[in-house]
Amino acid sequence: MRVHGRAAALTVLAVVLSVLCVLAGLWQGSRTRDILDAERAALADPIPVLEAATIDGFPAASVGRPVTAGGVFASEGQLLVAQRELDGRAGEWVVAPFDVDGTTVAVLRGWVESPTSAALALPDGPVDLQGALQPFENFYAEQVLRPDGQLIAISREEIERIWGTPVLSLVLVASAQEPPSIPAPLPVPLTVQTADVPFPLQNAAYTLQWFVFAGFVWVMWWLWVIRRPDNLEA
Amino acid sequence: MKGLHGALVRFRIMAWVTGVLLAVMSVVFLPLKYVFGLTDSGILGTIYALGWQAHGWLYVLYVAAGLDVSFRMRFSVIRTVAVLLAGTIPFASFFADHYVARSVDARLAATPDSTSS
Repeated sequence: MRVHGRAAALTVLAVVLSVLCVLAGLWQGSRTRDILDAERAALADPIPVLEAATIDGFPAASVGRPVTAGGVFASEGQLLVAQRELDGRAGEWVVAPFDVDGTTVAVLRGWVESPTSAALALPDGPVDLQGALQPFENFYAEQVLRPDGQLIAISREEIERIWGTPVLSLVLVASAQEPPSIPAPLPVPLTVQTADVPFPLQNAAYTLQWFVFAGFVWVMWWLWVIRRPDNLEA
Repeated sequence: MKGLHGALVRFRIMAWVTGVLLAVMSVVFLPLKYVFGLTDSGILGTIYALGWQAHGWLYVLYVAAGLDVSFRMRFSVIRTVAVLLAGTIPFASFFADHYVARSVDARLAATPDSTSS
């Protein structure tokens, strides 16, 4: 009877401990998801453009970052980028210098169907932009400028040469403008998406490890209760 | 007693590896993080994260080795659980290592030509 009581007690203990291990594993699993959700939400929340990038350096983590920018479009210097399609329609992209607290930001305002589109007109006063940051298209070293004055790519070097000023290290691809221009260039989709947030590997590993420990509880139960050592110490 | 000796060696290795890592993480990296404001970025931040992840998996191996040697030694359930939990408390695994090694040595000395386990 004494031996039976010990086996029963150890079995109850094993059930309780393994259930606790599984619950702890599930809790770490939900923490893993919560951390991911929170980090993704933080990344999707727009921040002021000058906090996301500067003129110097290349903030790789800010590529694809949603940003806001309040400032004024320079009246001169708007450029067209040739041969850009939108939803299968031929057209051009519109890039304009945008002054944010003294820093010139290259803003990709959007897509227009023709170089004479009424949407090319720049807003007069200060505007608030929403959008995301994208890298410059530094694909071609030479002949980025066509004879008709249109760009072949959004080359930072060429744009800085034409505008005569250094620009922010990333392009602001505008998605909305307040107050809006009517008509306005159509927003273009992002070509480079944000890198995903780092996966909380530690919490995910803890999840697995708690499940392993639940297994160890039953290994121990099997060893100490089923394959009961004959000469157990007290 | 060959099996017991091998089990002891495996447990001692895991006790030292787990114990040294846990000691370094607790004595060096926890204060760095919570007193001196170590961030997640940079080399030290990466080492911090890797260190805890490594300890998690090493502790799994420590538990396996600890179960093995404890069962071969016919330790009681409470003694075994104490040995296993020692891997989670800074510096405790060194005492567990010392205790287990002494127990095994005493057993091996008492039964020099036994072939059990």
